[in-house]
Amino acid sequence: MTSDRPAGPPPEPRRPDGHPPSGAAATPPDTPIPSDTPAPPAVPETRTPSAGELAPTGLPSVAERVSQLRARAGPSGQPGGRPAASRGTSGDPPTAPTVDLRTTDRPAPTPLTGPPVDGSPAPRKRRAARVAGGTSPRRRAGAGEPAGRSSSWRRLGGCLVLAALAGLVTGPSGDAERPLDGARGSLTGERGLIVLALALLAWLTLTCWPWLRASTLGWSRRVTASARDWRGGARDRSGPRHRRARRRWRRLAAATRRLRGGARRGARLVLPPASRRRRARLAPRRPSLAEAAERPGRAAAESGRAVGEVGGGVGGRVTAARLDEAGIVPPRDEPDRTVPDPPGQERADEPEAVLRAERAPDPVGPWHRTWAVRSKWEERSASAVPAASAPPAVSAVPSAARSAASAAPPAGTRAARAPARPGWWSRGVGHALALAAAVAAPLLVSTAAQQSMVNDIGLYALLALGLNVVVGYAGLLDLGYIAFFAIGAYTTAYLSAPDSMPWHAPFQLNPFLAMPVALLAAAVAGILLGGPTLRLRGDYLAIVTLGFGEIVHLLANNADGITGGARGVFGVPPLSVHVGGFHYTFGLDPLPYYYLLLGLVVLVMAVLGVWERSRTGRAWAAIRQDEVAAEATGVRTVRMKLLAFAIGASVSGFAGVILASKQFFNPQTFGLQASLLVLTIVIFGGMGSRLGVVLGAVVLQGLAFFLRDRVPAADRFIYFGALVMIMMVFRPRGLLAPRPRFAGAHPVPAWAAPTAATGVAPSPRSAPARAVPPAGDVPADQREESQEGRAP
Amino acid sequence: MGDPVAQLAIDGLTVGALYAVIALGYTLVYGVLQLINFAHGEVFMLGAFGGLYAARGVLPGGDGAPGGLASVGLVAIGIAAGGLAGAVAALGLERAAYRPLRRRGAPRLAYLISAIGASMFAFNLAGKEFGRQNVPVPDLFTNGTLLRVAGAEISTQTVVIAATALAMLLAVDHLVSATRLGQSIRAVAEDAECATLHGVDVDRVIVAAFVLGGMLAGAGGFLYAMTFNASYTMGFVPGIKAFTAAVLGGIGNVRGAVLGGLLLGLVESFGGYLLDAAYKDVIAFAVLIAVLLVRPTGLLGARLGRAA
Repeated sequence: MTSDRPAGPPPEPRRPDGHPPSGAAATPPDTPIPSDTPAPPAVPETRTPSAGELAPTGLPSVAERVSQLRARAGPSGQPGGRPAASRGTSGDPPTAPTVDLRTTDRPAPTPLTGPPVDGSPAPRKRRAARVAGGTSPRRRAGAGEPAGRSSSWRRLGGCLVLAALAGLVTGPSGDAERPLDGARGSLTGERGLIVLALALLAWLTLTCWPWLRASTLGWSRRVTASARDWRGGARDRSGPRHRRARRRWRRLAAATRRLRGGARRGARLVLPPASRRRRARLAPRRPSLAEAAERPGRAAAESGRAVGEVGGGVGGRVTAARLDEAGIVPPRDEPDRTVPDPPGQERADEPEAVLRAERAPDPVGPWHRTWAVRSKWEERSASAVPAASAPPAVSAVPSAARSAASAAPPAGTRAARAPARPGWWSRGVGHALALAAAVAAPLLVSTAAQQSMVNDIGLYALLALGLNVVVGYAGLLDLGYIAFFAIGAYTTAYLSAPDSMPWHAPFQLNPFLAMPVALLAAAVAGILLGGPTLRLRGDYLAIVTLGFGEIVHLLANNADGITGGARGVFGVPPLSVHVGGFHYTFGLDPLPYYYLLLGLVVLVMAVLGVWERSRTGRAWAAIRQDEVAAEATGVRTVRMKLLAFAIGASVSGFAGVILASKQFFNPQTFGLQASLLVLTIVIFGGMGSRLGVVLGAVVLQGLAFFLRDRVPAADRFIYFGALVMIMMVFRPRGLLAPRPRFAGAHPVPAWAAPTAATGVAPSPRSAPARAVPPAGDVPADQREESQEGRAP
Repeated sequence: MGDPVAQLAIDGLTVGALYAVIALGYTLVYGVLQLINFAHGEVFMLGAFGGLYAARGVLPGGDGAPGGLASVGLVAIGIAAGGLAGAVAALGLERAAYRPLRRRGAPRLAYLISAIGASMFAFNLAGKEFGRQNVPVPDLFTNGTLLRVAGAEISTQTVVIAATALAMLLAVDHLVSATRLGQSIRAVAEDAECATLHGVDVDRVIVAAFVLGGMLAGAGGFLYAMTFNASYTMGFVPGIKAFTAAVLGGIGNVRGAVLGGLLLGLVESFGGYLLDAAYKDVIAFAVLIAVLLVRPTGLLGARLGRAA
């Protein structure tokens, strides 16, 4: 299902090895593709132009070149070495040249050219021949990118599997003695029929999705978008959604024209002239790579920015005249092409030639320009930016432009952008409203709901805020986070209650006074845990923290002589305040706790906000994006990571104090599930967004509360797990994506951009690889997300 | 029990062989993806349940354990079903949690989180479907003392587990070092881009690594369940221990994983005897921390892939 969505702008012009063993052979698979590109509307919706499209047609790509060199320098002593490669293609003539790179897009599995491992060449030859011969189009289509006819069957299979899983999840439970009884219950009979119907419905919807969306959603989106335009003035329309919408509308318009013969009608639907013209006038120009290359320093960047802005106001337009000048006529005769689109729009689906023409006056030669390739990931994050926390008009502007604008506002765009930027007061009003809602909410609900708001929402919001520092700011995965919560709670019990644990302090403190100690204890525990492991890579940290959480849980459960063991801790005195003549003791009523927690949450949010904007916060952002680069630029990575760890831990120490003084607790509170729950909240709410994280706690735990009779508590984590996966795939930045900040005014130079995620990089369609790294025109705030945490 | 040393050694080696089998899954996936598969423990658990119910399904009625050839067949069926279930689970895992992200070129953190999500999903769903208590594997053979070596009793179960694990380890070692698939796995582990250039289908190799690791984990899960029963949470602790074993031997290194597993089994067995059996997990964890501190590349270093 997920795989069928358009894979975004084309990845990297990489061609599989084996096709072009020599320069002459490199052309045949290429030839159909450039001829295909000038007419994007002809490309079906689900199949975006991928490989080969951006390839410079004249020169071999880097990958080709490398493969050529490798093939030439292959093991000459091995008779099976290089010939095997050529045999792979020449022995299989019908498949190799006719493979459409856009659909299969995978390297032909030709045999390795390396030396054989098991010696004798004869069986190896046979095997090679078999492998090469086995790569029939059928097989390749089966395993490759979903395209063509087989994809709908695969999609059907996916829908069936997903519906069956959904049936399992929501169905009756099974039993050890009658295993899969629940499955039988949920997949047979009426439920089975429902599941089947759902699967078919999903399949149909998916299959007809482009049509459905174009014919139904397009209208509503059209209306909302124009309303937004009207309200907010200029907006960056380069996002994938808008691009897709434009493409769709253009197609619709073309169809309309064909049907009615009316020329302008369809186009009017697409872009109402007024807003289009205004957009064309107002849209800021993104810095191109060429500009980036011209700007070595910040001051230079700012001045260059202003220059670019002014110059871009005039020269950055694609006008038909310019294109004619350059000897290139835009290959589509769309009515809306005659009026220039704002630059920065539609770049990714324009053919390279047009874009070159557009940038003709750039001083850098075209061969220097690396095309900015946006992976799907970046697109998603881009579309996630204008979520509620970020004022839409501002976040839509590339942050490079913004940060530059703060220093040297470009004359051309300032007047236009100023009204769109909401003042501090609107944000302040929003926050005040949210706070008022939070204050008023518990007064309107039952006591049970109030308890839930304290125990489930408030505490977990605090925990999530702490984990957000670790996961969201510093980009470290902590799976044993709840252990610090436990440490805070047990420390409080140790310090403030003489008889709640077998092991206790010789004195007795008010829990409020125990708070700093608990904080400190949790922070020290964080440092002790992080010290040895933070020097290592993220995955190790994750699994070590996983183990740490389990160890703490185990110790709390088993060390009867110290913690009281599994029966838990009773009798920690409630919080009380004795200042001067004022005495107040928190009782059983959840309301005071709620307001205390609310105050703490607000306090922590404010403190973390300040921290995030500080030098430390910038260091975290740098580490999150690229640890090696951060270290190279002087960030003390280990220290900063330790700091994040300690801060996160101390926030959960806070929560631990509240937990200990509010109610009894036992080690079950600190199980793995709780850690995962906090993580889920952070992921769901939005890593790095304080408000999002709190909102995540409210939504998830609130849902859990409201559905407590429908969904058994034990099953909750099935949904949470599914939710985490879905969020990671579809909306990786969470419900409220953090506002892009520190995205940097300087675009990353092409050579410094990191490779794709796993260091594997490689499946050509998956991500831009080393040969052509992403850079240049991707707005810096998107680049941040795309790069963070990637493998060095 | 006279001399505990031999007994402890044998117990440790048996458990260690299981750890090694699971650790191979971590190592293979790490090799090709440079990512730790957090949901591997769940694959292990699902394999155990698959094997358990398959064996229970074909178990003839009547009281007492079957003997002779029937036992062998039942154990084989259990292992095969466990391996199959593990392979299917691993395949689904790759499809659902890894592939969509790989297509998008997601940052590394996203993979970890998505695998955690898959793990949550899988083991809670298993808890729902299979019940949340321990499920014993029915007796497939008469478990008794088969032979005595240096005062240690070696039970039939030990022999079965050790022999199967050994066979699987040898098979995987052969597969990785001497077959075409193994060659491409190693190629991808060494340099995925380069492997792509040489015509290795990286996607397929990744799937193969997942499936291979899943098969091993599933079969190992069944063997583990014969000793320790199956439950929906059974994947967690062995998962961490197997990861420790993989790190101990050098993650990304197939033979290192085997060595690490056996060593960890021994350490745990003796340590549990010397301290307290309840702290076995703590010992394994301490070993992990120590290895990461002292020698993050593990004992044999990383040969299959790049280490930390």
